[in-house]
Amino acid sequence: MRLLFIACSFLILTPLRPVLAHPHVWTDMTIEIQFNEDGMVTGLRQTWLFDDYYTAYATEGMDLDGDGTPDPEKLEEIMQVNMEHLKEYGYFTEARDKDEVLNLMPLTDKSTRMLDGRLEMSFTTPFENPVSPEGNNFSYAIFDPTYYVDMLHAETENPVILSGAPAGCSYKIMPPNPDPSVVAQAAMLDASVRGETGLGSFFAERVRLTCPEK
Amino acid sequence: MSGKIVPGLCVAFAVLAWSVWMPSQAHAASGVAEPSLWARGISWIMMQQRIFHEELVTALKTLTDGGGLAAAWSLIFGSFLYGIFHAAGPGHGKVVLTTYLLTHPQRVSRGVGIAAAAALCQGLVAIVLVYGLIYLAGWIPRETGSAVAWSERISYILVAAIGGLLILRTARQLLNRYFPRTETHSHHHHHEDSDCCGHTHMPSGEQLEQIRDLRSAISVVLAIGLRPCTGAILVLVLARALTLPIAGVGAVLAMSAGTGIAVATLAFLAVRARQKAVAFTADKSPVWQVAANTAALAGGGLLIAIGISLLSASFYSRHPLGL
Repeated sequence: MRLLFIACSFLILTPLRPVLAHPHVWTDMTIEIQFNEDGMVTGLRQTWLFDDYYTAYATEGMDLDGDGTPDPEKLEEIMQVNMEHLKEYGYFTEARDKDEVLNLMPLTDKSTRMLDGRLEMSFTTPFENPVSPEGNNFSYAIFDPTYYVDMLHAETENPVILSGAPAGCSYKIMPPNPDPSVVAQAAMLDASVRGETGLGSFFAERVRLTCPEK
Repeated sequence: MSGKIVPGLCVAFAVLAWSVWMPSQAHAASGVAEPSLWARGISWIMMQQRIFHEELVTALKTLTDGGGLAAAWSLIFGSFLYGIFHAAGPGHGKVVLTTYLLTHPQRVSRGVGIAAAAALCQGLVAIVLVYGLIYLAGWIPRETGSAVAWSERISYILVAAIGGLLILRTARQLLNRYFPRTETHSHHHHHEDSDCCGHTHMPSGEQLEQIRDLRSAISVVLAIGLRPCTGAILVLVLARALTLPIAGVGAVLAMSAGTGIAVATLAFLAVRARQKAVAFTADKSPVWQVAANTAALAGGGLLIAIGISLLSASFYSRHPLGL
């Protein structure tokens, strides 16, 4: 009986199920891997479609002309602010050539709109140096390190688009495989910490590109 | 309290904890090759949470389209489950609550009451902050983030303060034990309290203790409650966007009820665990007392560390998407 209680007091202090508190927002991504004429990967064209919660949070009160949808200028403003803040986070984008993380150039082709009542933001993250896609050197993962937002590839037919890719290229989305010990460790920290706990990387999908060797 | 229920609950908890916790430990040793049972379990839980969220959206939308009572119930019930589910995860609130209850003598009812009050407070703070600022002050949802951030900061300061008080209290006990004051404090037990009620100008030691108790209980409630859950805020904002603020309030209160039940269970176990530990160590060697004091000091230190780290984190990092 006493032993049971001592055991219990230990157990209630043990987190029963880690990371239940996160995430709060879900985002469906469609990613176009861009190639140049030489068949090198030059960047990612990203489209983020936010869920109803974030859409409401970000765009409420932005319908000044009263037409039932947020004003385009206001959406531009939101996009501008978001991208400014995301810069510090590398736009949540971690692209790799083998194990080397690629440097990003400033964003291009920013645009935003409402799609079926959901907020959508699109932009291109060009790489500083184009990457050879031969073999399976190239891969990327897009995730919110704080895991406030779960960034997943859209459940559509083509969540990843290979535009102008050399013949024979294909991609594979690898589902997250969180290492339990690391996740447990991260979960021991307060789930509400917004700092760079890097929790999100353990729940990120990674896309690997495979192209034939020349 | 029946002697049967408590160990039963404990066994249930223990089994639950072991079944979730142990596989992860076993797995950690074997390294990661492919999605393990544990990893798949986590993914499953994540998936459930997403489905929950989507169901809430669906229920809210059905309600907007005149879905009636059925939609309202599914919203309330879904929110309630989400609350229970949500509270099962770790959080600073639960650390504060368990540390406080394990180190302070409390009746079971009081401990459970504190837990329930904290959960309710959390829901009310979300409602007052979000709807108050939007409807009364005319803010837009995106702007409420800064007000929420300040509310959170007060909560973090309280967490650290509770830790500090816990350390002070333990230090005072230690001083009293090892350097007893020569003048014995004469405890006047006012048995005829009713006679002197309203005439006492000097509060008695007991009354002081009660006031201190109440004050610390309130600070625990606020330390937990002033940090509204992001999930609740997002539901409120979405409900308003769908012109159903009342449904939003209902959903958040249902969430609080769910969280309250989960946290009250935790409080119940913490209070009982403390009572048993006290009974167990009552006439044992001083080693036990030293151990208890050390635990209290460690708990206080933990709270100070958590409070300060959350507070400083709240200043240097705001989520890039403005959440």
